Amino acid sequence: MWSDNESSRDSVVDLTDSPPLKTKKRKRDTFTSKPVPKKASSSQWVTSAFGDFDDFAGFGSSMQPAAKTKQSKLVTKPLSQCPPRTNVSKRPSYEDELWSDKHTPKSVSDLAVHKKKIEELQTWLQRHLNSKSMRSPMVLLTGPAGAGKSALVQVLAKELNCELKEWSNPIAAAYDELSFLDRRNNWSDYSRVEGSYSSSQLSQFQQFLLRADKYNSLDIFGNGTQGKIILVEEFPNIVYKDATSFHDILRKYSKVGRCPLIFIISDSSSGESNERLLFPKHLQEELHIENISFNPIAATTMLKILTKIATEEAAHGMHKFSVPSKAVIESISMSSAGDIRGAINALQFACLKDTHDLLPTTSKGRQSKKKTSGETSKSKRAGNKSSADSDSTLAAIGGRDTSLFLFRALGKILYCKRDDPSNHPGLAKLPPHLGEHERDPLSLNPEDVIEKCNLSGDYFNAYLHQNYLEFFSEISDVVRASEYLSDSDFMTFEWSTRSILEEYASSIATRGMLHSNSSRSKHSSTGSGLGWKPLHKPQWYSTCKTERQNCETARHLFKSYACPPDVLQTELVPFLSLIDVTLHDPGQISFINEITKFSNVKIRSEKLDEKDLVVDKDSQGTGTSGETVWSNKMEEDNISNSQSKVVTEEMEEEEEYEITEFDD
Amino acid sequence: MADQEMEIDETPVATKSSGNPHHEQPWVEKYRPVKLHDIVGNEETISRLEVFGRDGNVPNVIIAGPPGTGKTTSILCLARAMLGPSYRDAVLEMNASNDRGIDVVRNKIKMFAQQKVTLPKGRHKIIILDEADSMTDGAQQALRRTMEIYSKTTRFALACNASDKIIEPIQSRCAVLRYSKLTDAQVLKRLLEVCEAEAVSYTDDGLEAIVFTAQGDMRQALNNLQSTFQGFGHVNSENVFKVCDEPHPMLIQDMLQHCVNGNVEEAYKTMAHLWKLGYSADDIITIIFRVCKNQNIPEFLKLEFIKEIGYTHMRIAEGVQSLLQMSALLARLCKKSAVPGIKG
Repeated sequence: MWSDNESSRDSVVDLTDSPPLKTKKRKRDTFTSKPVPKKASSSQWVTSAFGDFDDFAGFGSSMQPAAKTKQSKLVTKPLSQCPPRTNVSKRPSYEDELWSDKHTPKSVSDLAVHKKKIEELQTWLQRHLNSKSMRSPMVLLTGPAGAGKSALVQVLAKELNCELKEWSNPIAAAYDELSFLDRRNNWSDYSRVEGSYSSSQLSQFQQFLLRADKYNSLDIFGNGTQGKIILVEEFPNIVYKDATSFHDILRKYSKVGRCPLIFIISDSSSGESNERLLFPKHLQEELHIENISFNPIAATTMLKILTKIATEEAAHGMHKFSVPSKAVIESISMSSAGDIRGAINALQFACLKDTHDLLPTTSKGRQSKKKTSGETSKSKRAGNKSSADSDSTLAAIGGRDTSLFLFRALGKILYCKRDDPSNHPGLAKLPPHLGEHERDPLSLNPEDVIEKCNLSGDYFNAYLHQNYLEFFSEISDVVRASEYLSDSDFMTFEWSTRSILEEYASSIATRGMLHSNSSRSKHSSTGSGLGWKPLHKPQWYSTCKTERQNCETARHLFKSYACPPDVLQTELVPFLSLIDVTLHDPGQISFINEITKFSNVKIRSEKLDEKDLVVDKDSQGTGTSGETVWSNKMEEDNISNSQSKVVTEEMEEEEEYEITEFDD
Repeated sequence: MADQEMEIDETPVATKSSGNPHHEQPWVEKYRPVKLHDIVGNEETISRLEVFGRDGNVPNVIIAGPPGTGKTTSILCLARAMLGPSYRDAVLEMNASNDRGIDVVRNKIKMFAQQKVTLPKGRHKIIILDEADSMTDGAQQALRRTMEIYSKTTRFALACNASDKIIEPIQSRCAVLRYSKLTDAQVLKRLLEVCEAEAVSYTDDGLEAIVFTAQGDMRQALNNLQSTFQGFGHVNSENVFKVCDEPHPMLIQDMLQHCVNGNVEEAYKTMAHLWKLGYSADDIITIIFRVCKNQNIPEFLKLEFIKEIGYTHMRIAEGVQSLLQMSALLARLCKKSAVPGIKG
């Protein structure tokens, strides 16, 4: 792998637009980096080279290596002539790529995505690449960021020997040479017919779709491809404001288009989802858009891949470092919450610390080298779960909202450790009539705990609220604890003052939680009673999301009744189901079934726990909001009624259940 | 474009002239670290950044943390260490004061990413987006493909206060580094260095006061130090609180202690005194909270106190900034520990 890159890089260095060499490595060619006409690129090259020369002129000493580089670029000298910087001959002296790019999966076997999902997309592609059906096939891939959606598409396109055409938003600049080139590369309609350069992004998008569908790109390199796939990952910005025109384009495309169209939307755990906006249910049904949703990468898979990358880098990468201990990789993979790209980025950062062969160019370099070797032993020690120090270290580098550290922080608050008062001589005592509120001193500072877990107080309170009940044994304690929680919630109610009062809110919630648990008021009582209790993720967010979705669907399905959503859900729909009206819309029937019939399905909540993380991630990813479980159950109950449900959807849900068992 | 370049240039020049005896520059700029290893705190992360500074190929990074912890400084130092003389051409710095709407991301940033700059191998252009959490979601969305497409030539460094305001796709493309507040010892150490360099006369309680007012924010600490020194020529706690225009925490501490003892008259005297000095309700309540958190008060009372202070702060934030509210707060605090059944 390296030798191949080496040779090409020597002559390219950092010529940004010399794609033939680049495309060899990376099949996906975005249209902005398409080959530009020779003349333009060469002239660009010349001017910028001179510009650089001017700048370098002032710096005598540092000019040396740069000048050499330039020379080697001009003459294309062999490798040996490169500035000799390496002591270790086999290692590359510099690194040019992100690890997350360098280690993009090259074949299906490299993918971290679950096999079922790979198959699903693969069969879909194969089915539609060759079919002569009248409808144009479209598929929508959703899932959290870094779940391997784009990587899967690229690998499959390669595997099926297809050309991948990707839309990228054009630069809307004034007319000049650069934008002119850009426009052409973007398949935009710089057309002589219309005689105008500027056109809306949307019409450019439309043109792109139609042309990408119709015309093959030039077959310069002689590797004839079998088919084409159009990939839309970045949506024209205007679309978010005006979704209907986007839908019109899709409808148009579905009439004329032939080649498979893939959309990728990464969903976020918070906020509005674009999926609902851009691809509402009715449109998906109308255009028969299939929806494949991805789960976060399972922890086991992630672990495997991270280890592989780490070993590979340790052996062939720029630095020599001992492969990080399993515990380090484990905590990286956990803190990334199923986001493989983020995990690789974090890994690159974490690994670098363990470099032993840093060239001690200066005394400073040497100094920090000593430091690094000290750290190495430290990160090795991270294997011990008990060492709290290494936690915070990794938290500092870690990925997103880090469940591992959160777990610790929650545990600290909920289990409420107290110290022996005899260790604290200067302790202030409560007056005697408040004796029932006397507590042994806390062994931690609640404000510190909150600050260390790197979460907003709001979010931390949600976690506390989800989990606190399990830890209380007296009802009066629960009363007090919930009172404090409500106090803290009320404080952050007002939007305008939230930022000021957030600190109070989290302080009150945590301190209230600690104090109101009377069964743990003494330092000696900590060990007794409570065993290990699983912690859960707050259901609040997913419930809100479900609620919003239901409201949206209700409004759409029962448009003709013209009621606000809450009236619809609480009054109209229940009555409709009771009075047995004949409904003709299958969507309405299934929705009424879903909303009005309560079954005793237990809504699972997401566990948050170190050991079960593997199992948990998967089972949760499939069941996410209670709704999926719910509707699935419904399906079993009333299959006769809800024939409306698209067959594929049913299939998908069943599959997901298999996955749960699969990874156990 | 032009003024950005100026912005970038300013810092290195500033540090070079540190031998200059004039006091024209803010010390924050004058003593802004130029090398990564001079940065105080967060050593773990910074030592890794040092490695990148030496070897290049830095991944996209997000640095998140409270103000005054050296986020921007470490990015600038990293860029300087990595790019050396080509710093001028290879760095695009934008912060919230620049227009950063979706158009800018689409045009200016993309243009810069496409520009060719000759750099040594393994080095990349850097786009610094300071205060990235104030970017709109749309602009962030537009950023994410740009980040990927140009990763061969351009890397992004984002600094923000709250990493949850950065959309997940961006977080996924970056290594997220979290800076934590500086400890009092770290701030103090740096303050001592600066005091020595500037020949500041100080007392220990003066520096302590500065550390207290700064709350782990180095920028604030240096600013307070400089203004106290230039205003009074001597740094002691009196002068510091005068300059910072904050009620003296010792007074507040006494006041709270009176509340714990249920002595509302004494507590009110302090409050009335502070009010007469002209402090706003906002100032007073902030310090009360800060002091209360760290004071030695029984746990139950501390919890109840914080709750009441919070509610009072809420009213103040909504606009009721009167002495009456503050007195009511004291009364409620005193009531907490009072024996029930006795009126008054």
